[in-house]
Amino acid sequence: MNANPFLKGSLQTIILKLLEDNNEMYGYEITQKVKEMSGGDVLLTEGALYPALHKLEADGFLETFTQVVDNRVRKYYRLTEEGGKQVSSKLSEAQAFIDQLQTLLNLKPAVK
Amino acid sequence: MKPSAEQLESIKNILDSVTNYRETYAELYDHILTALEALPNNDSFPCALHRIIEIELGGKRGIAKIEATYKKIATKEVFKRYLAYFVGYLLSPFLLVAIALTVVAYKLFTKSFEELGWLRVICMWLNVIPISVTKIIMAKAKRDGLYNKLSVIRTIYSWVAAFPIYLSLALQLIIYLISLVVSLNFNQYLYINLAMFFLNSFTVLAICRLCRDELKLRLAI
Repeated sequence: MNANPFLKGSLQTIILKLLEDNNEMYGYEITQKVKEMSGGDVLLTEGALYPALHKLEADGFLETFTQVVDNRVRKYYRLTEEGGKQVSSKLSEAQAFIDQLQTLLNLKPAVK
Repeated sequence: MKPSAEQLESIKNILDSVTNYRETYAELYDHILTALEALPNNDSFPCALHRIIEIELGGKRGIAKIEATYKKIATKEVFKRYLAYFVGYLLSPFLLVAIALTVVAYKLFTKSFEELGWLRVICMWLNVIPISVTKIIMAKAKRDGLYNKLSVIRTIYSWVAAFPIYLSLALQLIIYLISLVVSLNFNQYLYINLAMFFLNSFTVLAICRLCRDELKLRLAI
């Protein structure tokens, strides 16, 4: 992930939200989706992604399954029931954080 | 870009040298190949591979970090499950069976220190069961011939299986040290050993349950 500490702290939320929207994904797919959605501004490095995925798996928010693709094993991640519940709570936390920052720093919401 | 057989071999060689476990090897191998396949055919393979491994994965250090995190999380998870099974059996009807077995042991080994020695031997053999089970599972997985690297999970299972033995040896050492300060009588030795026998039956069951899960889930990639 790029050096932005705000994004580093939101990595788990990003992963959970992506998996909620896409049902099941593998590591490389997640990095490409983040790159695509952010127009190339956010580059998720695998060194940060995989530990985060494994942590979410150990916490019971993600489950994995494997498929053989082109003679190699591909590990897919998807949300567990618990993970599904976690998404909305993480998103609320992120929204609250953004609101607090806007208040504290007197930022104006971006207009597109 | 579609890597040639020779290029695939070079990726495998690099990953072989920087990974220790099968799970991370398989996941990163797929990641690297998918990343390469997404590149145009006229891209330079060595440059692309270097960029993926050194920059995106963080090189040897980055991969070691990914493995270390995975191992730490997997260890915690296995021990958590082990403890949950241990407590689960302790609160299950098996408790009555364990009590009955301990009463039988009490009836059989109350006459002399020599008899008590046999109880210790039984305890040690009980502890050997989980190790044997994990060894059998590992041998079976090896026979499947799907990998040449160890699995993190199976490595951790081996530690968990050996744990009761170390615990038992540590307890024997503690008892010995206590006996140097306070003289223990036969009954005290007997009760300590019976308690160990009682608890051992649960540790053995817990690890056997873990191994059964492993067989079922086929965590091996």
